[in-house]
Amino acid sequence: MSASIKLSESKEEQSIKYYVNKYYLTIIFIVFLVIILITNFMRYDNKKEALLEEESYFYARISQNFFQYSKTGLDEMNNNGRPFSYNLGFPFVISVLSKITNLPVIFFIKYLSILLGLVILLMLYWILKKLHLDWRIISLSLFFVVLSSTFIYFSSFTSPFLFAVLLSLLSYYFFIMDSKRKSMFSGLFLSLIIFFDAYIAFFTLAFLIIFTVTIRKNKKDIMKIDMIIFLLVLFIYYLFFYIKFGMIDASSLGYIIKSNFGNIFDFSSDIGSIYGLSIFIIILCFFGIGDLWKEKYNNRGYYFALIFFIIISFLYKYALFYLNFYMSFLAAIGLLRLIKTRWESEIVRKSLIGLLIICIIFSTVLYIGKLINYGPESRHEFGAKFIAQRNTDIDIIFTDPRYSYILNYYGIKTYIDGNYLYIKDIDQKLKDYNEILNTENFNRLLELVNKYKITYIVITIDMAKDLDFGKTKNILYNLRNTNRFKRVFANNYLEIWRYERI
Amino acid sequence: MKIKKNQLVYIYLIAIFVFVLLFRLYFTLTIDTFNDDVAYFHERSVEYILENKLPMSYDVLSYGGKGNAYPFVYHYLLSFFSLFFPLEMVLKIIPEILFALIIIIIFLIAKELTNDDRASLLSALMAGFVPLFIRDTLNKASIFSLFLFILLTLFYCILKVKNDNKYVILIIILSILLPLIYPSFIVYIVALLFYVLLSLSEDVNIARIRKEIILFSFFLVLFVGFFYYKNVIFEYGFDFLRLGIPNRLFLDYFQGLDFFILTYYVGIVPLIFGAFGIYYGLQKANRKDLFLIIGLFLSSLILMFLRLLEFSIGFIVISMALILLSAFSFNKVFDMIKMSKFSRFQFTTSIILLVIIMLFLIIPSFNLSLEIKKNAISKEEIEILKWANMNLEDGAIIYSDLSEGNLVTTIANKKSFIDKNFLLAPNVNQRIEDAELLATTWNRALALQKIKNYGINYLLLTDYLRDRYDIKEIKYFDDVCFDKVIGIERGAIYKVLC
Repeated sequence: MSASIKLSESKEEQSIKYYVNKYYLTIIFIVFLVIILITNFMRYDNKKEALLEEESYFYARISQNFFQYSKTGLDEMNNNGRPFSYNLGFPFVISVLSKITNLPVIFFIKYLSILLGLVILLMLYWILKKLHLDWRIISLSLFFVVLSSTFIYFSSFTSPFLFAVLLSLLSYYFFIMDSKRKSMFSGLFLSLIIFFDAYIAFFTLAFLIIFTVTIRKNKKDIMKIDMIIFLLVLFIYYLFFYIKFGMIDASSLGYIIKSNFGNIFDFSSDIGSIYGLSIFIIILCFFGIGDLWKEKYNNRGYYFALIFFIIISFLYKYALFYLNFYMSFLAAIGLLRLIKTRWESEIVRKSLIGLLIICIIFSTVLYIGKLINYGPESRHEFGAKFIAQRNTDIDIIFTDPRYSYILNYYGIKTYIDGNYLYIKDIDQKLKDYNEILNTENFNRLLELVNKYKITYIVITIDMAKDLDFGKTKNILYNLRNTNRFKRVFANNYLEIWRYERI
Repeated sequence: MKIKKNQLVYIYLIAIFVFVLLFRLYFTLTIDTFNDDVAYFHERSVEYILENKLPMSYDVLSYGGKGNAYPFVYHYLLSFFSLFFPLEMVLKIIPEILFALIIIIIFLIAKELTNDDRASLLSALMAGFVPLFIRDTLNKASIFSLFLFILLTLFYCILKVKNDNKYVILIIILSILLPLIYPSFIVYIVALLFYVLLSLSEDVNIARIRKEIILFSFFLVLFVGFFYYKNVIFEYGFDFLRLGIPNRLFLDYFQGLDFFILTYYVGIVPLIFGAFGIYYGLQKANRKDLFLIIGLFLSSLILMFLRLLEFSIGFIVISMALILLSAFSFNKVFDMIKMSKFSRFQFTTSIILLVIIMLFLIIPSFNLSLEIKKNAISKEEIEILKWANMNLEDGAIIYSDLSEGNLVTTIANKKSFIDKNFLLAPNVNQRIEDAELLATTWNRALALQKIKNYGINYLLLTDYLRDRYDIKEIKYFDDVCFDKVIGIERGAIYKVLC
């Protein structure tokens, strides 16, 4: 990937280059900060401090209770308790930071992502510089990244994935360094990723291998060392899990892999997805590829990289983050090519470039509006607080697996959450979950409620989408037409029904 | 005064235009009502614009109140004409004039492609009488009239862009307008993509200025479409192209595609001549501009196959593309005759082709139009809804058949339970299910619970509802909870008392 793309420059452009080259990184950082701060503050204001994703509550909870959970090795909050078998890196870092600074964990969940986003941007800048790319390509690439929905989304809440991305970029950055001694750090960062996100760890390793085989053959030795360190850490880490918790159930592993697949119809934030690629960036990307194709197979590294990022985006939904980086880079090449090509009509050229820039900025502005209104509501939290006040230790709440994260955060045990790792009889539990929602037989519903000792049923607006409306009866009908369940709380987002035991 | 040959061509063209227009107007003006309740939605939207000068962004009547994402350009056009003429007249005449104007655009494109007046005139004549086109557009104040007109004009302008930028401004204006007319603008975007891909694969050099304007138009349409439909796109994602059609009705709007369906709806004549047109145009005549029309054809096919383009507009676009391609076949037939021993039979050949068009297109279209005349919304039903407008309380919700929802909102000026404006409709899948349940269930308690949940005040029971659900009467009706407030032979309105 070291092939450099050079574009001819006029004198006037060289003087612009001097100033822009000097300040563009600062400008990009400021743009990023403005976007992310506006988005965050408006969102928190709009949602009354509710976190962006339900998973954030999960990360907050395991970070808050990290030392307690790691001592007992048990997370009791759902599925009748399960081993504390999550990736240890994230809760460890957050809980240590919280202890050192004396700031609450929730503060880091909310705001550390901004700092991480900045550092990731800086890493990208250094990597692109290291690859000897034209300054205009670097600045435009970073600009597109900053304006992309994927980057804004992931920079809006702290997650293990963000740490994993940072570590993977560090690993790659050190890997491409000329100094052999510095390159050795690559393996260290690569191994650290395992503690945050196993998917990203494997993808980074695969990328480094492909990079070495196709482009930097002189890095073979470093690659081998990296791989040995990586495999060693991987072995020790998972051996620890194996000894402590035993083998992962094949079906729960299957569900996890399946739930992490990317969805082909969810690739663009412009057409409904909460994060993804901008349609305009994709189109510009085609021009970028067209430009690279002028040198045919000399640029094969770029094509391999694109294919690689597309494949991993299908295998792991969050990996779209990398594809977004890469497409921003290709889009930058595409836009520059459009600007540099000789045009028959100057009006059309200027209008088109103006239009494209408006499109990309407009897409970002719309996205910010969307993100401000996205995610759990404070009303979800009201529901959780309502139950928490009446909750006893033996209560188990049946609800949407994602809403479970919020309930668990407030100390409420739930039937199932969205994390299927180390859950016994996961197939049966999921089958029963669907049956509770959609059974037409009220006695069967009672049977299942008794079987799992469920005390409350919380129907959320998201959950209603899973109901089978082809049937005349479902859980809503069952709950509303009996005195065995009493509605104790309702707002526009959820209804809480208490089971009246005889 | 002797008429020159090229003047004669335009006289023929005007004659065809007048013939098509009169044909359409005859059927439209002899029917008092419309054939589709959506026409009444257009009427209401135009009235809203005339009153407020702004498009309706929130529809207080549809589905009991919902956001309105229906594009507004068509309504503004109709509003403009209704400043000078009565609105009912405008709704009847303007769409038909636009449809008739399409044949002129077809002629111009065909002429540009073949440079053959006779072939182009025959194509223009065909365009006026595609049975599907008649079925889906006649007496419906259809928005497709403007959409197709702008779409085909855009293609014509792109064909005309060769070495100058005379048409650039027009293309820019039309590119802005197209997405503001109907969400199916995607067919244009994909057609341009196909055109470029086909040209690249065949090593055809597209003129630089055309390349530039295509690129600009592509982005402009995409941007305007994205900007205008942003709320809908955020709500539905890709599915916004499916216009929010509920699952249960999906196949009514987005049917599967196979050869027999294609033949049935497009007609055998455009299909055969169109297929030959592709062959002759590409292999023999080597006319690379043809890729643009093939792009349009492929775009509709692919989008229909993916069920992203509504069945009726998809087939209409395919018909138009095939008719344009037919011009090549006609051109070839005339050339062959000219170079053969039968060169003196050129006029006879034209007559034979005319007879074929007459037999396979004009006569079936006429028969179909007679059917359409019979199936128009009945005057009685309009009367009953007018009565509802005068006598029922404002803000009441009336349950009706799906095909009457816009009548409820426009004629009765009451809130509809369901209607055909699915975009941004609340819980539309659930409502469609419940609409069926309310028509078919015998369980009074369940029906009353649904009626209460939706706040329905009246139920309109007509033949449309009976036919749709194959029922004679609603089984749970009784004298205690339901009171017939007005009844005629074809229907009645019941008040909910419980």
